[in-house]
Amino acid sequence: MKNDGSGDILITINLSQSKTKVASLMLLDSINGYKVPSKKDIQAKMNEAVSYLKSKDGISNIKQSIDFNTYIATLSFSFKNVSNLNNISNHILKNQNIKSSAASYTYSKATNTFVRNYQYVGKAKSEYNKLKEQDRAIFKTATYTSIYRFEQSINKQNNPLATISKTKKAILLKCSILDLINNKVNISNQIQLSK
Amino acid sequence: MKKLIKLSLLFLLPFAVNAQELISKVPQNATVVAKINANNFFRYLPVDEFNKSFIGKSFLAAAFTDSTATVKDVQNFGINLSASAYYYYQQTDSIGYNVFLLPIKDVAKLDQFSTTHGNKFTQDGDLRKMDNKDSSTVVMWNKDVLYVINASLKDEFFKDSLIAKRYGIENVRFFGQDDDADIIDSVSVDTTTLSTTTEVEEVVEEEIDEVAVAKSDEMYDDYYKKLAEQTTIKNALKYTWLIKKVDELNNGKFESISTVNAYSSRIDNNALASVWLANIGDLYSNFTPRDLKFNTLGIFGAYKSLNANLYADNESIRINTQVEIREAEAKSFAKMYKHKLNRKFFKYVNSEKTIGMVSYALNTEAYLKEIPKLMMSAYGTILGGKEDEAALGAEFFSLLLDEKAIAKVVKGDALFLVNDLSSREVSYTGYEYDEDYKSIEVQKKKTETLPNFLMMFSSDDTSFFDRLLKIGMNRNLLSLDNNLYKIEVQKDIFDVYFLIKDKMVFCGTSLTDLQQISNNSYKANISKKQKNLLAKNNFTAYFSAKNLVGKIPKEEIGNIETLLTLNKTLGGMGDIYIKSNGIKGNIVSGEMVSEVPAGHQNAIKYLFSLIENAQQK
Repeated sequence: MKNDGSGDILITINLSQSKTKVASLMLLDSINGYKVPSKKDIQAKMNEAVSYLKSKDGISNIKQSIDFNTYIATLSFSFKNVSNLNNISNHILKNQNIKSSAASYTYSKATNTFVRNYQYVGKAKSEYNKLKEQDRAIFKTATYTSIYRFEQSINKQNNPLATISKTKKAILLKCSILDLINNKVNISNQIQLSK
Repeated sequence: MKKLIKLSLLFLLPFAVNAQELISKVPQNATVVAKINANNFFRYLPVDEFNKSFIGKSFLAAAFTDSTATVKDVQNFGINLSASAYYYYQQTDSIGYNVFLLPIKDVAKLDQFSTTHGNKFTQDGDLRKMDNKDSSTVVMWNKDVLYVINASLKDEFFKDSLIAKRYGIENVRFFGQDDDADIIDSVSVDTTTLSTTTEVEEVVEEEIDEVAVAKSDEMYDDYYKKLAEQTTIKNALKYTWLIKKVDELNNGKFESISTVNAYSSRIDNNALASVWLANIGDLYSNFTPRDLKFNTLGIFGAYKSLNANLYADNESIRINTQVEIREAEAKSFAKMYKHKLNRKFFKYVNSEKTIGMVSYALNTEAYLKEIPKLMMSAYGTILGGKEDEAALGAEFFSLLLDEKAIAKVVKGDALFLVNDLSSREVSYTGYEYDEDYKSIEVQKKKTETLPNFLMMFSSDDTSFFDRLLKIGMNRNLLSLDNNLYKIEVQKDIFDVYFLIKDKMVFCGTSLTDLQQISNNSYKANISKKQKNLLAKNNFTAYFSAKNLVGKIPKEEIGNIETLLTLNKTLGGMGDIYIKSNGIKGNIVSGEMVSEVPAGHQNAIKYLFSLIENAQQK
């Protein structure tokens, strides 16, 4: 994120470690009662996301890629203001029938504070618990990594799981997806940038 | 009374048998009959050993809750442990009866057990009886037999409002619920009923206008009150019918099921337990709502009786199942099953190594010709008036296909073998982060375990596959090296190779296996048992747990202790297989066998030892 609140975002989904499993699954129509999406379905979902982003104010420079050899998908775009991101995450949550009111990202130029507000959504756990034991195993080794990068140096942050880089310009948070699902970790953070 | 019902149910699990033939008390028109031969059970596990076993102790503890009970012994129930116990289901269009029959050896012991456990019974001459008006079950016994008779009304029967009215029953519906119209529509009864329905609808509409929302609680109460009243009427009716049934059992004379050839010819007295269903189609139809029934009757129409016999002896536990098929379909099946597995396949089975295998043999030409007919007879009724069009479609399908030519390409047999588990390293993309947390893509490696399989099928005309493989080559989907084709896509899952040789098509994951098959150096040694199984059956599935020992890598299990325990368990397990040798006359049969491993006297003791071991862990 730049000083004026604009910036770039890159979302990467990497299933490469399970690629043997994913590739075998993709050969099937459905497994354990779940429909397996085809390459076409996945590409269509991605295109849907891209066209949604295109219609949003403040969003530009949208790029996407899906590699069906490594099973890595990326989506990147630029935003004019951090608040543009909230509309997007609200839209996604709404599509999943999840009620959400709190803004996810805020940036105050006056105080130079960047806030990531994370609210646990109970639905994730109830959906996860609906899965069969063998399907749950898939999540055991899954991880969530987020890196925020700023022009200014980071003075302080308040999430014990996060670490600030040597250059003080970036902050990394890594946790297990399972902990997120079970509400064992909170990825909220308040980051104070230097003036 | 509950105690006695529970006791009789528990008894039906492992016991009963021959001297006293209770079969004479099972009526000719029973639709389901189950028999348990306790003699065959206690022959392999003596009574005192049973009493001391985990199952025995749990069973006795559950039955003898009275602390003053003397020795807890299965013989203290007064049940005859060397005669057969039976269960049967008998039904009319309005009611179904579940009846259990246990042979009695010492009625005084049973009386005593009943009294000490608070079960009050009335006695009339030799007959003891426990019943009450609120129950659906009557328990009665004399010096020969204990009966448990349970009745349940068929809701479907009373859905017809004319019939219901005859018994003083009114079908209560919740306000606004109007499913009667649909039913009447499909049954299309007389005008009296139709006008009644109209009235109901009118009343409903008026009520919508008048009833305020605040009154909805009252409506709920009213609905449930009416429902309770109707349930009381139904229960009273059920009890009346149940008592009539009890009288019939005591005094009535009826022909026994033993006079029915379809039953007596298919139930084996040497079995530990048997189940017999008079007619699969009828049974299905009885449990299907009638508005669905008219359409789906045909699906099971081809199947008549079914029976299963369970055996346990020194060598194995076996379940043998037979299904009787309608003549027309039996002919179709017979043509399809007239096929044997290619004997050349036997050269590629290594019995000492193979973990599992599946084989099938069906006559492709007959299959293609018969399947449209079978589909028509099964699903024709669903089509509701379009049977002619469907039949024409089936005919057209036959015209399009050259069944003979297809049968040359795919003869209709196949053998699938899982010979080994192999580990291989796979690479994946991960990330590392520099000082500024910039991510750098790195290639990481991990080990995965995959099964090694080998599959083969016969083809008298391999030119089709030759061409198919060549197209694959042209499209860069396959590569060719020394007769072996290798799949070049989706390589992350398996390396897969193809080979065409001696009118057989091979497909497998092991390059060495395929190379050896290609240059005639493949070494295999099929056991006599597996050869017989494959040669004589149209379908087999085989699993050899002991051949899996030592093949599972530690990485898959986590720690060496668990792996050792698993290997020990697998090593102590006997082989398991399923086989079906197709159709004889109009009977299709199949069998599942679990062999008793060395070191165990017989199947029953083996099973009990497995449970005993599981309890100790």
